[in-house]
Amino acid sequence: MYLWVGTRNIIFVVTFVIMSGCTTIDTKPFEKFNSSLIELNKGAVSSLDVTIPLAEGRYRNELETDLTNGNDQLLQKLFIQANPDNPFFISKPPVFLQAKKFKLGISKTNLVWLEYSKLLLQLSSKEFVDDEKFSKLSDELNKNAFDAVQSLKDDPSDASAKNTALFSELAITMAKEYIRTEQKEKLMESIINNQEAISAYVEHMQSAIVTMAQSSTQEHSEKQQNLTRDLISLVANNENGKNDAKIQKFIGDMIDVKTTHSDQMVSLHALHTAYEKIPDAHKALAKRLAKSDSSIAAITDLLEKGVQLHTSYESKAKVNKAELVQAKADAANSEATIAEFTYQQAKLKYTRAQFEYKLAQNALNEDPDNDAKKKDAEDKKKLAEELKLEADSLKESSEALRAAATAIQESANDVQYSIINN
Amino acid sequence: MPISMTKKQEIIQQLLASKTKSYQAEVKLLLKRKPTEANEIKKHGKELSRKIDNLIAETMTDWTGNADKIISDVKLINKKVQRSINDINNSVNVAGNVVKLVGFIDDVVEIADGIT
Repeated sequence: MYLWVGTRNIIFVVTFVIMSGCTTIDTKPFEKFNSSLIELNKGAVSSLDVTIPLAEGRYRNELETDLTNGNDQLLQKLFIQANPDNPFFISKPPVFLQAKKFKLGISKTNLVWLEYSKLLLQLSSKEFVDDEKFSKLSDELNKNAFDAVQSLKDDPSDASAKNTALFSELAITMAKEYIRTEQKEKLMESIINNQEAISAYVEHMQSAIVTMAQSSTQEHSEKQQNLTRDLISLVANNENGKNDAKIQKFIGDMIDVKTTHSDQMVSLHALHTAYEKIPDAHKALAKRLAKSDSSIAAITDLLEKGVQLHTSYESKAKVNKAELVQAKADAANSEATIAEFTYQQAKLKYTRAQFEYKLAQNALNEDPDNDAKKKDAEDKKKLAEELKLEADSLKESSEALRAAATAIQESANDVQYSIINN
Repeated sequence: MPISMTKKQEIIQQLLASKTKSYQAEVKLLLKRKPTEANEIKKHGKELSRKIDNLIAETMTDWTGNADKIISDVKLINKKVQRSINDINNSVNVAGNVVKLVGFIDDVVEIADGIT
């Protein structure tokens, strides 16, 4: 009897102490924090997906020009060079190859932080104190206790069963609370200890974003300058408007370069700002743990920035795709228009030649024995026939190009329709 | 709020500003039909552009080197958090055993209660 009273007292005291500090963890802030990092990760390297191909294309063109001029400065970057002291030496590669490694580094850095936030989420999870596991344990416990009592007392009364069950339930609650307390303490400890590392990570990622912005400006300004040089040269040599279509094409390309660069700067700036919000969001996790009504606005703010960024990337990707198919259709249309124009010019030339021939023939009819007029009529007839053949051939090819342009435009319309509706 | 940059990034930024200005000057000279002068500017602009390429590549190399250190630090942090998770998992088992033990005492008490 003494043992019973003593045990009851101990359990009552321990249970009371633990229950009074009732420890629950709100997992939502941890879920939001994790989602924010996932969203930011999606946007982090997308600018490099545009810049790297631009840099590679430029390197290839400049290397060719360099070699034509007898220079090997750019070629050196592709040389495999051995170092007398270092068996693992790698010589400096072209910037686009370095950018590929850089992109990989950014992804790896983001991944370890995603792993960290996933672990925090796991640590905050309610699943930790597995209710199912405890319920099963509780059921078994009650059943066993009841069986034991029954076998000895031979009195399976309701009261005895209830007492046994009640006592076991208290033990289960105690155990659950003990785990939750430990869980909360470990979480607090992790977040507080890692706050400094989170700040260092953010600073590092922001530095990467600055480099991405600079790399983007470098590549887009190079691309634009090449287009400008070609454009000025075309305008300077545009007698009778022969380069009109090409000039418009170059202007269109320049508009595209400007648009892509502006979009990238806006996105990278937004990404830079979003990363800045991570330390506050991380700190808010600790505050929320310590005080259940503490604000998680910093985390919500971070999540909103991440989602906005991702949505903007997605919509831009859609616009880019639609623009790309339309650009192909426009190019085909321009080609067909140029061919039609060339055909019309050839037809005009033929008509003039035919007219000249008819005049010469009339002159010959009036003076049939005149050899000079005879030769003139024959020459003009020959020229008119040649020009007719040329005009007919141009007519055929312009009709084929127009049919192709119409088909491309129809397929572009289908693609655009499917993008809009998805 | 000013954007924080490393020394190299600050230099790159200045060089980019100079390069884009030199490109504008080249265009103005081309439009004024002064190809010789424009070509001279173009040559220097290209040199500047290659310097920028080299500095960007260096910045990326520096960044990747620093990232390796950060990555290994975070991996260590993750290991610690994982250890906490394992500790708690063990604690769940310990707590389960405690429950069983308490249940056993409960049985004994009930039995003793029934006998006396």
